[in-house]
Amino acid sequence: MQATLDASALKPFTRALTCLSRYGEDLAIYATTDSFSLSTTNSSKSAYCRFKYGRQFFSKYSVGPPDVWVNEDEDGPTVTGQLLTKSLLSILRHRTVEKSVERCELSILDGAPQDNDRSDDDRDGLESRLVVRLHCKHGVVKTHRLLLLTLTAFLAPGIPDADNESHLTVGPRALRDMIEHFPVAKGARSDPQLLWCFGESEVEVKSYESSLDAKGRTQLSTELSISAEEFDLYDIYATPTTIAFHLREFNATIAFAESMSLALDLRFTDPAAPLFIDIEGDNADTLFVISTSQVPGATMPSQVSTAANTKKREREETPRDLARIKRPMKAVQRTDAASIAQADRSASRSQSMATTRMAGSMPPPPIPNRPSSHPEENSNLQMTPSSSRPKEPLFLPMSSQMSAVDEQVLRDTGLGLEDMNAEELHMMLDGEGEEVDFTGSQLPPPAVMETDDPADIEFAATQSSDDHSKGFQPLFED
Amino acid sequence: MSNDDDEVQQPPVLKASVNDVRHFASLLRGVNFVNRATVTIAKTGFVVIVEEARTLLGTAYIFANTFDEYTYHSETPPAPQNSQDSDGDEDDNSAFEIPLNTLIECLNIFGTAGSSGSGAGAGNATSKYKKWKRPGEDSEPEGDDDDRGWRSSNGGSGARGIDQYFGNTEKGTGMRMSYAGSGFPLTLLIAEDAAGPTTTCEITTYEAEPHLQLPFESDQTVLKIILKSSWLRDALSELDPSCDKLTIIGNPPPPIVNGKQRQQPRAPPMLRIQAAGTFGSTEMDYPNDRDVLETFECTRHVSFSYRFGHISRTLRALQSSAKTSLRIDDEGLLSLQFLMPSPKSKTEGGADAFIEFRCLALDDELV
Repeated sequence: MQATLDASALKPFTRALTCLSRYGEDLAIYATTDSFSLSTTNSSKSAYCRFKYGRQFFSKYSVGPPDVWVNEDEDGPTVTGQLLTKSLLSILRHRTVEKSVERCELSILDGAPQDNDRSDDDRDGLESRLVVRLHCKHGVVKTHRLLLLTLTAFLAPGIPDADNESHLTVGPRALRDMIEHFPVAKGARSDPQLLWCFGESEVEVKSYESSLDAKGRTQLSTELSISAEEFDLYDIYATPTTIAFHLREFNATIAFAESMSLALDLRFTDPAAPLFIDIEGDNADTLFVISTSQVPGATMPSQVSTAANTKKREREETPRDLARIKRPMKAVQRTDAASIAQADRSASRSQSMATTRMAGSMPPPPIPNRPSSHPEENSNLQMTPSSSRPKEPLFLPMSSQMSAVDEQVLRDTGLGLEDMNAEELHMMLDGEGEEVDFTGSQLPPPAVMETDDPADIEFAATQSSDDHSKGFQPLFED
Repeated sequence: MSNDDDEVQQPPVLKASVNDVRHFASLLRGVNFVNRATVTIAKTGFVVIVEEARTLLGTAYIFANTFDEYTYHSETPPAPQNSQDSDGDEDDNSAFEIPLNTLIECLNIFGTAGSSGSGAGAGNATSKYKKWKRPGEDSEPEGDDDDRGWRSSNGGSGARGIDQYFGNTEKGTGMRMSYAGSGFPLTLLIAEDAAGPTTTCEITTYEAEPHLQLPFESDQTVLKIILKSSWLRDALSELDPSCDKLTIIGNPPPPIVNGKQRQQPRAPPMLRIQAAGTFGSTEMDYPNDRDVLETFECTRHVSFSYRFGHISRTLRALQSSAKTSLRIDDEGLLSLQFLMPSPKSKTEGGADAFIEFRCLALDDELV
């Protein structure tokens, strides 16, 4: 692979690398004939970042042996590799580079000797190398050869659900103004979380109290209300939606967007489904995925159940009849959506496990094509919920899981609601208690009420345990 | 001990003063990679020598005109003191060893000696340091100093001239240094301001021991390059610190054809600096461009390797230097001379100081 960056393209490229380096240590390179992608995942696999540059971004770009031109109809060769972000960044971020470099050539040399006429010493040994050749003023040439490792676990994000997605568009400056009220303590371990509550016309941002460090030093709790008008686009699927996510990677994203003066496009679905951020620039397509966590509660130990309570209370605070009547519908819908996502995830995972040979041809964000048949299958397959179990967090209190009784209740409904999680079940039953008119909606048959003791359900946790599942998994584990 | 008052019978061996220690401090800092330094004092100035691993020799040549006042009285003829230095009597100079770090720290006791890498001419790099309050900005900094030599040699006009040149009202930290002779400490009197506090430091000196000698035979030179220090500085600072070995490769310039130097596209570069580290290797090629290499003399293909850890010792001196002369003799001995521009040279014609590093090549490359 050979790619040439001129001085004007080098700057955004370096900024991208800076951002990547704040996400994760290892940089995965994926080059196809049409695009050049750099991606990274943080160590806990809760954040993913990918920059995809079209070939127009480069002044010269070719993949494959320099002499051979690949037919366009072919899939074309792909080049992959992995290296430490830092090692590449430290070359390009050096203060002299900005001043003096006129042109930067990136080339990947395969370990296998190839007919490269550049210079003889370019190919030595069996290791692949990323060669960064900086052409500076006055004809000074600096050549850095970095060891390129073979790509190990290739990570790619799942895709967001399209139907219940919330969209936000906001400029980096506005976002920075919000975030900067939440101080990030110095230190490597400090990674505060912010809790975002997207309401009808206001966004509440507050520090997530559980992000207190072990010594309890972070005594400061900040809460901020922002008018939705601050956002260029404010389209929340269901208000209020509350999500919480960590700041570290988010800050890196903002910093990048700010340096490029590009707006951020935020998409999210469930409170625990990952947050997707797109930044679109010239010839570059940037995707950030940050996993969010469940809404926190006020008290620590029974975090999950209190979280559910908080949620409920919020709902009660917005007594809009329309929403209330719609709610059970939504719950069902959401269940479906969740199970789709679930099935999707498990499907894509098993798929990836089964077919590792895809490694070569799958594009960096290998968008798992959603199997359309899955929702139907899913409702009949009792296996599906259990197959997704391994993704559950280890430390969820028992109460958050659906009890066997609850599951039995669901099965007995005969509605194919087996995948409904505890929260939704509770909500459904709860709604029943409030005597919401269910006519026209998928009314649970009386059997539910009869077979089940509502008092029993009363204390069931309303947390969907599946919500904690990661937004993306390794596609190739070798 | 106050030599200034008790010097009835014997003048001190060295008396030097300067009204701004920054340049002096930056020269010392350039060779501050090993704590124990040998200072050799002569009439024209003094030389600070440090060595490391019997391979690297760093020498700072600080000439008398770096100081506002510089007097040297040979301690040999009039009154031989306790003991003579081994090399003291031949060239009429005296030598002692001193902890260099301590000396630099003393000079920077007010935080005003500057730790900037851009030399003394780069304005005030220490402005963020809180200064002692000055009652009157116009008062002469040395006004109350009890030393006559100081005042006479450095009138207010001289100091003003420099300050005007720098374009700021800040006056540097003044220093007066004296060394009574072998066995005596080096005494520093440092004052930031006439009205401010004064510090007297006495730094124990040690008897000089013979140090590494790396004579450079200039007629054996195989590669001689003069280039702007910034080129070399950038090259060295861009190298990965994990690099172990640095190789300097020189190739003779291509033959001149038709009065014009033809640079063949595949011609080996004139100067290549290469290094290999854990994450990869780096090569930097420099063409024979007058903007890059002011002088390039190379008789044959030259390739010598040096320990990168040693070469990187030069970075601190490189940062404040203007030009570099790089020479390699046929045995691979590397001589790097850095021209350290004096802030005075522009106004008063003070000579620039030099820092020189000499480094032996790694053995395996010699064969």
